[in-house]
Amino acid sequence: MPRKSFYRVKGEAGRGPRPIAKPAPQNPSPVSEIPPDGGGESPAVNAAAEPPDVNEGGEAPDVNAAAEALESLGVSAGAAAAEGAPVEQPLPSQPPLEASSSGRAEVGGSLEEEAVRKLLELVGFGGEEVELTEEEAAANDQRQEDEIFALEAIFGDNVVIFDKKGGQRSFQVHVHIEIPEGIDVSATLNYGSGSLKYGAGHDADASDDLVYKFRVEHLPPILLTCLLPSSYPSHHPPSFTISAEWMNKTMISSLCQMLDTVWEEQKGMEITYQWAQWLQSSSLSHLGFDNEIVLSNDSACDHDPGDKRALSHNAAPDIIIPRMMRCNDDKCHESFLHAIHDCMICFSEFPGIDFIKLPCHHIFCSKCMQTYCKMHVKEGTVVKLLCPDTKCGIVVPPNILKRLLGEEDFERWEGLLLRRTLDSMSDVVYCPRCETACLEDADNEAVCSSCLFSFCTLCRDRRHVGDKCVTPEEKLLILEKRKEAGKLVGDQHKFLDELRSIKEILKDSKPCPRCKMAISKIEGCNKMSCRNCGQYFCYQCNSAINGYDHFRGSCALFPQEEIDRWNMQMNPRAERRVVAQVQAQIFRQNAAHPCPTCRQPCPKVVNNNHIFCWACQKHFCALCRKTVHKTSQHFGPKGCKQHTADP
Amino acid sequence: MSSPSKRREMDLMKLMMSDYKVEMVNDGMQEFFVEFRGPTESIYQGGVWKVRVELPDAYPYKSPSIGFVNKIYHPNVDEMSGSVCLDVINQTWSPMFDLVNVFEVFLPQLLLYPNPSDPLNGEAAALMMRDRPAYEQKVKEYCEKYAKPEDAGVTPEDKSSDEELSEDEDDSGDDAILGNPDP
Repeated sequence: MPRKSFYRVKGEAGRGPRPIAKPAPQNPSPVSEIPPDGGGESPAVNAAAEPPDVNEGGEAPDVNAAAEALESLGVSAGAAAAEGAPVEQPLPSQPPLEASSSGRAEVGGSLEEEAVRKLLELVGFGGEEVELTEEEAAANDQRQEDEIFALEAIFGDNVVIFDKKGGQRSFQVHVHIEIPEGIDVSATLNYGSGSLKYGAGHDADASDDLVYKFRVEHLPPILLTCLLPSSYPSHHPPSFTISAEWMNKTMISSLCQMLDTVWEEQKGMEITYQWAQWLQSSSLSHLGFDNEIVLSNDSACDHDPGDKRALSHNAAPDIIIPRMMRCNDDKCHESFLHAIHDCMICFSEFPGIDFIKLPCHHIFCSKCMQTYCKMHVKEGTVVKLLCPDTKCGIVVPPNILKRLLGEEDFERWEGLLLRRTLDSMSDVVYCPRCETACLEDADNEAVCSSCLFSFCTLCRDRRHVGDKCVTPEEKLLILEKRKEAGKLVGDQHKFLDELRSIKEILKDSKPCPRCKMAISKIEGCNKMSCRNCGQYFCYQCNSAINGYDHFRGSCALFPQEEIDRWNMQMNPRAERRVVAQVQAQIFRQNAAHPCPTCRQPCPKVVNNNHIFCWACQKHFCALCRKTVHKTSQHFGPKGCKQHTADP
Repeated sequence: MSSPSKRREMDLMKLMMSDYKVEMVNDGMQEFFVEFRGPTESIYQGGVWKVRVELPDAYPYKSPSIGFVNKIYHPNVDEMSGSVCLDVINQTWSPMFDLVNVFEVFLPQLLLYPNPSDPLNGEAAALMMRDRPAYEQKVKEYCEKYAKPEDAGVTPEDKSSDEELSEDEDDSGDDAILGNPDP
């Protein structure tokens, strides 16, 4: 994650006409927003045992430290800025790396900073200064400015331009190698002497070596840091350093030498774009990694210190491998968010940000998922909240539901789910006073664990040992009698109202024979299924049933009104058709006009040329035999005559 | 909660592109008739039905409702109303299914493999279990009697010549535009 936010910081810096890196541990960047779904991993990044100024925002030190290091270049080049002293350098030495998840941010920062520091050292060694004429110097200056301008335009957020100090321009390019079809990365690992190391591979004791392989589409960037001397491009190449987290010194040295070669070939030309381009397109094949990247340490027997400009980090494999994977995941996620995808439900196109990615990796647009989830929650069919993909069917996880549903619906969902679970246990009842779920005993009695109310589960009244329980109807009668007698007090009024509304509900509905949920039928047959508990029952006699066998007895599957309703819907057309058919038969011999669509003979009604085909239900004109869409357009002064007598 | 109209259009278009005759009931793309042919090598081969499809407001999040207009003899289709008892349509619908699925897969499957244990037409189910030849005979009788092409009578949305010019006003919506022919 820090990578990602890191770019955002740079993006902000890049907005100005000439970005100025802030001089700043004092100015920690406020950008530490957690990216949409990386919530799980990013907090760990900042929770490291680092100096507090580095800790702030995680990514800020990357830019700032580098800028600072450059400031110190300014000092060494003779500028007067005194407070740029290396005192504030947060990481002159490597912080401990045992916390691997936190390692990333620090190391990213230190690598970059180190790149610049190293660069300065090299400049110190600087080689022979060339005396430039004033014209040459001015020309170089102009060409450098143009070059940097071009780099910014080409690389955008991937180039960081540092403050110009001591008359020298410097910048850093993040070269991202893209491997769209992916590449295998392998490492031979050895767990010896308590830490994970790269295995030697060839030694005799290589028996406990383990080859670890993974596949990536994106690699951590190669950082190319350049300092442009005033003699560039006319006489000298830029001073540069290269660093890459996953390469060893030998690899990077080889890249450095190649850049020298590139310069030799094009001396006197602007070179940095060529360099970056070469690193991006050819460095993998130059290192022999066309098919597979092999991670390794510098071999111990190699005494060649390597190129001074090659900054290798030599991190342990248990740090570098997770980092490479994370970088790959982040980049993949980032490109997913920006790419346009099709939603397979509504067929609309949206950028990845507007999509929901389920744990099964199926994606649907947020709008569809929201409608889908809200609908099921509204209808109470929470068990159907599954991945819409027909072959998948994993459950939509609660965290996604929470995001989609909003607070109110999410609470309802939780409630429904709990209720459904409790209802599946047949001995659970709800306390009439506080609605707490309670367990019923064999005598239809229960004690609420919350308010300690002891009640009868049938009439939901307080326990009545010895008395037979009464039905709601009986109870209503009793209470109404009492009311007439004027004996009702307090709560009983409320209770009476409640009973009355139950009665109203029961008038329009039937209780489910299993769970007593009131259910009313809107349309359809009498085989009902309870939305609450799934029990099938007959809406006519209210008994629990299974299948359709029940309706062979005295109960009818379809009530007469339902059949009538259906017939009503179908009839007008059918009726019109029969009449027309009869007419057609009568007129067949003399006055039939074949329909242009279906060839069925149709009669003219008196002299009207506008005919409605009884068979295919199309309108057509008897004169020109064309389909008629609008009477007013077809017939009239410009078209056919609507009324003519047949010859 | 109204459904994405693009999806409705695409579903209908796909249905028409798969050579189904579709007749709109009104312009809202809510209701239409589709001509459905009995699957080959089944006892329903040769039968042609007019199937009424209604897309609810929440389509495709909710399943379409399906009914046969002309009669069909089948254990899982109600003889009177034509409504279909189809587990996939009613119970396990997913927004990823579309109308082509319904007509290419679900309905043919239903005709090929009726489920007599959960019948809507009890008589058909009983006959199927008791006397298979008689059942098949009856199915074929019904096909001949009620499911000839002219019984289905679905008028395709014309895609020919002059229709294209007035695409948005053609089809059965013309009932409303035209009214009946003047006497």
